[in-house]
Amino acid sequence: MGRNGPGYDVVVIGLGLAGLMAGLAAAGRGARTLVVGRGHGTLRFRAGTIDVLGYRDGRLVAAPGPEVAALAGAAPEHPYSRAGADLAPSLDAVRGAAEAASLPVDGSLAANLLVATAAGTLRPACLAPASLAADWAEASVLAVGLAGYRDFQAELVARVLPEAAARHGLRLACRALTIDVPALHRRHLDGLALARGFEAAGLRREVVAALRGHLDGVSLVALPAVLGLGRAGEVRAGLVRELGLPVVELPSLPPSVPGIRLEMALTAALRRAGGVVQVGPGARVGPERGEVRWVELAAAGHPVRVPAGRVVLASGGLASGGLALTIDGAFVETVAGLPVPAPEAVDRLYGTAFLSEAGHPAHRAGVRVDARLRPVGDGGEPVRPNLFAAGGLLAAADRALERSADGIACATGWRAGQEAAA
Amino acid sequence: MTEYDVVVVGGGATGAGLLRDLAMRGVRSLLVEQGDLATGTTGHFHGLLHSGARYAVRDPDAARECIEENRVVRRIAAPAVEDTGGLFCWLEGDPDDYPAQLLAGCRAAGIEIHEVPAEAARRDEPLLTPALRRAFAVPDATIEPWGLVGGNVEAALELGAGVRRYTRLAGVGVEAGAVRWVELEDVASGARERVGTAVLASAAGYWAGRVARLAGVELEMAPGWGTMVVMNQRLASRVVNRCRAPGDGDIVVPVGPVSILGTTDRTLDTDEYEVTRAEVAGIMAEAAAMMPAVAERRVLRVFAGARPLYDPGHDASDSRFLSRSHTVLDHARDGVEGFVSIVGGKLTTYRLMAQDTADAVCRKLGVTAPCRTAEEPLPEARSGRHYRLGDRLTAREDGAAGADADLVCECELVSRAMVEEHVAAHGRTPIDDLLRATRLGMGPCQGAYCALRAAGILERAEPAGGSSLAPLRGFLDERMKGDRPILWGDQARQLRLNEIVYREVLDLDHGP
Amino acid sequence: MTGDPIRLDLDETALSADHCTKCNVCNSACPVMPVTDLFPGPKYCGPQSQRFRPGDPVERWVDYCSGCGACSRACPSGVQVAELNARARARAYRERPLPARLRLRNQLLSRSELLGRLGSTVAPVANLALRLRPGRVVAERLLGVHRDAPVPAFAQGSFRRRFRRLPQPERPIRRVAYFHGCTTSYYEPWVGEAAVRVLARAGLGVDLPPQRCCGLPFISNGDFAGARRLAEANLRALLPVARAGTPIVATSTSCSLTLKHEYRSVLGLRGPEWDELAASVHDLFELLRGMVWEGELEPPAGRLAGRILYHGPCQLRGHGIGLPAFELLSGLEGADVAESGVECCGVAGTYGLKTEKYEIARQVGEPLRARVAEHGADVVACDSETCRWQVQALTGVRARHPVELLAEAWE
Repeated sequence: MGRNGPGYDVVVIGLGLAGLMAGLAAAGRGARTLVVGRGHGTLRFRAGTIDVLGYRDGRLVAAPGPEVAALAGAAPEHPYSRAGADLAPSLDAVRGAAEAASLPVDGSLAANLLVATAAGTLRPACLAPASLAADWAEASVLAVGLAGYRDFQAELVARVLPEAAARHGLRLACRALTIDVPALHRRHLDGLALARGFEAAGLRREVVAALRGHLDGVSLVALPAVLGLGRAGEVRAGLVRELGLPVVELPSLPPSVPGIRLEMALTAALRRAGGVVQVGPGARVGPERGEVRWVELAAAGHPVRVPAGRVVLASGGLASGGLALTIDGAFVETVAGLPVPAPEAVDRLYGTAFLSEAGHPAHRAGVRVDARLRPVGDGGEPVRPNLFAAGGLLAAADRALERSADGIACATGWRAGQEAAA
Repeated sequence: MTEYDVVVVGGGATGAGLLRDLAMRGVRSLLVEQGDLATGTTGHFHGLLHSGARYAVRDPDAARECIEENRVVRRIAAPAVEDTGGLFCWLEGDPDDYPAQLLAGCRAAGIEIHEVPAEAARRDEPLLTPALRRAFAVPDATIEPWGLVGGNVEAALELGAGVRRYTRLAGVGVEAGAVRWVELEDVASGARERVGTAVLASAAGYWAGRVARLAGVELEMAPGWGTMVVMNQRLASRVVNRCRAPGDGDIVVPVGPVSILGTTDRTLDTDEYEVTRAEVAGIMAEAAAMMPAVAERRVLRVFAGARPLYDPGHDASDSRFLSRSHTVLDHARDGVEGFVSIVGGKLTTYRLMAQDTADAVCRKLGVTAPCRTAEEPLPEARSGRHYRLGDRLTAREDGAAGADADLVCECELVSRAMVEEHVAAHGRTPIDDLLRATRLGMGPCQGAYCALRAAGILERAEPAGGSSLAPLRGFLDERMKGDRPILWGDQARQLRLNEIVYREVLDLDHGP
Repeated sequence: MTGDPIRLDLDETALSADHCTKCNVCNSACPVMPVTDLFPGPKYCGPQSQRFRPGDPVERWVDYCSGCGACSRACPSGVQVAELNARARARAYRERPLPARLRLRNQLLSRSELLGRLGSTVAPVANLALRLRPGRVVAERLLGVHRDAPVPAFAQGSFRRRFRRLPQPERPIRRVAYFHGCTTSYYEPWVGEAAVRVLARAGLGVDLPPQRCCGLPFISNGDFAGARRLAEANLRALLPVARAGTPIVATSTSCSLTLKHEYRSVLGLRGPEWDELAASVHDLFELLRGMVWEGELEPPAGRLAGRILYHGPCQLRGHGIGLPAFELLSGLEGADVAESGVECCGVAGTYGLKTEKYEIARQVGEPLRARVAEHGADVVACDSETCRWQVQALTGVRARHPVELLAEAWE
């Protein structure tokens, strides 16, 4: 099965960040690529930032690039030690795709940015959409809530943000204002409805009118991250122009509008590169052993076997269903049945507190891979010669604790896509 | 110093019922509760309003008491009660003699029971095992404890009683062998106040020993901890009981949108009980014997409650076989006049427990007004309409509950209006109080969305001092406590998603 | 029995609500939510309300679900969101019946065979009435079928009769059974003719088994009893075909999805015989592509003229087989075929015909209309008939089944 054979040269299983990056890398190398997933990946929950490394050993990471290199050196099993070199080119690819969708991106591997959130916290990010980035030092912030939008309460932000800033050695003041305008009077008001409302101009006009008169002494207007979807740049530029002030968006609960914007940008780039995207059916690989020759999609009525030259598993971790945890504390890899060693005995898989300081060992579980990102068995040999793995499926990183999920997805996805297309 | 006739300690069903009874008899009473109402055993039980059939074979007095009170509670607390009915399921291999004993015992106790053909039972409850051979229908029902306690308290407040939540009993003043005052401590501020009282009535459940000690009385309690497993959806529409002598894991109780599997029995004198995965697996295995699908369905959380059992001298091995009937202890016999404790019992008979206690208290006060708690319905029960699962959804669909933009907890259909009503009545409270009042956070996502929203709305309603997100973290930790022993399958997935939101998106672990 | 207990709906579809993590991804994929404030969304109407449904709530807003299925496909957790919505709608109609005239309308629209038979018997008159404004206004007032809703023209004559005259291969490599559906019978017999021609060209002998309407209009209009009657009839007719190992091939992706999926997941008809039936059903292009992948068939060769925009209908996406027609057409020489890249045309079967939903359907389809215009397409290729009629009405561009294009191009 090679080029011009039936089916696809490369099939990527998983529609999250790792899957999209793998598809982009493979299609970019000229491989006939299919990216298929059971539903969308976790991009739609996340904030639309690319978190490479936010914390290490409990401390804030100032410079993710060098810190990743240090981490890779110290932890040879960590996904960054496998694909550290692919991090920079993969971030460039993300930036390129975002910019092609009129979604400018700030930040670099040299220094983490600080992004404010709907909880009033200030958190590190390596790359962030420009609309989420702001100059927080000495800012006089007006946090603006939209009446009826339950995922953002300006009063909470105003109370917490100054303290959060102080912990970063920054001084800022923050006032709260909740505005109620006719365009908000809908039965169903989620982030997406607001984003579309802003694009339709009526809401934007009313919001600007409601804000005038409250802007004295304000140096930065902070709104929830709902400022447009496909035309976000236009919406924000319009607000900045009409308010005469910088405007920043604060991410909140899913559905994440900035996350969806990023996913749309990456999907469009993948399609432009000639990749095919299929949202819907679950997948398995076949035959049982040896070289993978097809990907079996759980289609309606009867499965369909798509011939595949090489397969990248980017099916994610526990949140995405790529990994499942049984009552006995055993981990199951749900697409190819790959071995997943349990990081801990069953009673020690989870900490006691929800935001346990040491993280939850269960979330370090995953598939072990070789230098080429091929899943390996106990003996260290690749389980299948033409099967690669990327993203949250990989073992040995507590991505939540480190804030490394996006960086790992980008670097390993990019690398796996290239390996698969070679 | 403020003076009361009676200070009631303990804001569970018994304490609330007692407060109402005393208020109806014109007795000036104050209820103090160290936490939120119904956070003790009342807030940690399986929700069953017993028909009494479970006791019919071994404990006929308890059984009769149950069915009589069952009928009363259905009437006086109608909206907190769901008229589910119950089934006793006799499976292939179960003890031959039990069905006959059950029938005889129920008839003797006046509990309506009739046999249902197994095929009919399985048609009505599709998840019942094919190994079902016989089934018996009884008038079990289920009860929502916070509504029940809230209703009793509301009735008492209407009659001029006082209630202090988050208030601990710090001391009891006994002078010349009689209770004269109590010392109350505000849990949040630490401020103390002395309140004069003629009678101290302890309805403190398994804390009764601690209360007694403050008055210089030794009282041995044998808290029998029972673990309950909450399943995400209704698996049966009736209460499903195993038709044999009571044992672990032999009931499946439909309560609100969930099914509760119960339960175990460990006698352990402790305040905090740690549920283990192994215990959960045991309960599920037992329940799966009656309903095999249990093994594959999503488990939502677990919790443990302690039966406040009083054992005057026997070896406390399996507390299930200690007398479940209640006991009113008059501590005059211990040398302290004006102090009574109500111990033992079960939620189904709370009203009777309260009545017996109120009778004892009124005798001491020389009050002769009779008890009328069985005649008068609670404030919201005047329509006589029982709870039906679909009610909240119907209300929203009909527009009575406001626009969808209003939903704060989507899983349990809790609207902003419900939250704001609670805040208007109680001010800024821990989010857990909101949970008990409205069911916010009790659904499958275990606070993933409603936690942040509730924190925001509470902040907007009444700003907290300080800049800490600790209340939000605390609420999520409380959810974790109940989830930790059941983190596999769907709930493990949910937890990881929640972690993405609260750690990775919102940075809650590093915020103020 | 004692008590006042509630009814539970406890098959695989109902219990799939257990997997919901409340992520809201289904809401983000729904094409109806962006254009109307009346629809609370698939999450609310599907898995969220499901926990309360055993208590017989009376629901209303789920009626605005179009049944496109995008939510089920977008769900990362395996919740059968669209299927839950479909069941909720059927229950809602039962518990809270629509006003009489709309009920009558829904009943008529469900009875595709009846409408088709009546209409094609008097095709010229029926077509005239449907084309004349006054007729349409009357239909709107009496029945609630929007005056501008895209309705097809009735064809004359019987497809079965035409079929008998169609050439078949002398020594077929295999036989297949053609499920023609109501569209081929009553509105577009030429699609059936093209299908037979293409199958014959692929070396397949085509049988025409006895068959009924698949029942999808009954399902979409909440009449599950009517749908089940048709499903049982189709099972009786087609199970022997399936058991003989003969693939059942359909050109309407809506029909084939109903046979493959809706019977079990929406109607709750379960058991090995339903599985066997589902396993034997194929979309025509799915079958051809499979034969190409297996090496049984050379990829079709020939010239494909014109600038073609292919639109994969929702009910093709629901199959989970990708876009086989697009793949095969793209392989033809000179093919100028682009994919629409748009999720939904809006019509959703009979949904977009109804007065109260016409505007919603039109707005849902607006991105497709814009894409067709911007692309400058000569023809829009689409496997679903109601989508073709919607596209034609929205854009004025001719819409054809891809099998027609293949039949013309394949040498």
